[in-house]
Amino acid sequence: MADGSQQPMQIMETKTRFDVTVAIEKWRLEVAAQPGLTSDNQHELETHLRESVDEFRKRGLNDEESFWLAYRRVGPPHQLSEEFSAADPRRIWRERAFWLALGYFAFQWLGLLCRLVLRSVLLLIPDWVGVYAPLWWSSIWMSTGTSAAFSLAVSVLPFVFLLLLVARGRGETIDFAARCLLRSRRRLILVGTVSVLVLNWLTFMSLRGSTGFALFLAGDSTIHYLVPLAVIAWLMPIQAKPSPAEAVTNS
Amino acid sequence: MYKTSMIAKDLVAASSKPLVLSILADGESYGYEIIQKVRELSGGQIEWSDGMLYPVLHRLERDGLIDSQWKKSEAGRERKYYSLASEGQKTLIAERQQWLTVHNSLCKLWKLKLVSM
Repeated sequence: MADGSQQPMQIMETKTRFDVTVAIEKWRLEVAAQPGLTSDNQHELETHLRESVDEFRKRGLNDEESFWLAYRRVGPPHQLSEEFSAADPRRIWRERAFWLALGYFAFQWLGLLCRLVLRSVLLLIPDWVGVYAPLWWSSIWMSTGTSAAFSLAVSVLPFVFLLLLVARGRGETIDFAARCLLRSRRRLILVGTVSVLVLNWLTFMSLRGSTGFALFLAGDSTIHYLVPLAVIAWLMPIQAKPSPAEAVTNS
Repeated sequence: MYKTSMIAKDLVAASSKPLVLSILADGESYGYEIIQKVRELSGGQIEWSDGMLYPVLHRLERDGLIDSQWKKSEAGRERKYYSLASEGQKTLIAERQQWLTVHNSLCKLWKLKLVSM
């Protein structure tokens, strides 16, 4: 009877016994799964972890305590990956390319918006005004959307708009809007695509004499906005999620 | 507010370069030992996270200031040893000048003894 009651205890003990070799192997696999760490980096970190575990053991701690203390000191794998890749030139250039693509898209997008607003305003003016208007005015009016001067003015407008916001101390608003938009890849694609399609559709509607919805979709205006958007989403830096093992150490 | 016992994060980051270069000027060393040494030198007030040191070491290596080599220790443990390159030697002299200038400026303000440069 005594044996029978002891056996489950023994089983439990072997089940919960901590194996430092297994723990280090698990850690190694977790680190290997992180982006931005070369095999040389991983090997170096592993020697560091082992060294740290040995030091705690020498101080008289048991295997489990030694491992978790060393783990804590080395830092959680996702954080390691972030710290390593923050110093990686590839990542730095990827980020620069991301901002470049985002700037291009924002520039095009604001241009689209400005063009639409200007066109709508011009459409509101009745036709007969043109008859009485001075020649320079009607020439601008007629060439709206095609003249180089008009394109230039539209291209500059987004900059003026952004500068005005910054000058009026609304830098935080821009920052907040960017943060909201860039929280996830899905959100950026959704908001970007929908807004481009809506703006393009409205522009299309505002043009007199245009025909066919298919033409509008296949038009290079869509390609101009949606292709950069795809590039942005692809380059977008993604935050690594903490692994389950860290939840254990943090608790 | 600030804890008086610990060095601010920015200062820890800024001082990592002269500290690493100076430690390696005394001879080659590896990551774990460098961290221990810094902890010892600062009386535990400069606490480098292990994950922070390696990117610093790799950046210094990319900049040609230090060299690295995998070696086996006497106990048979494999480690990546770092040593000061000749370019690092020059940088260390410049860094030393700059840090002592800052140090001496503060010392003058606080009416403490100056360090000869």
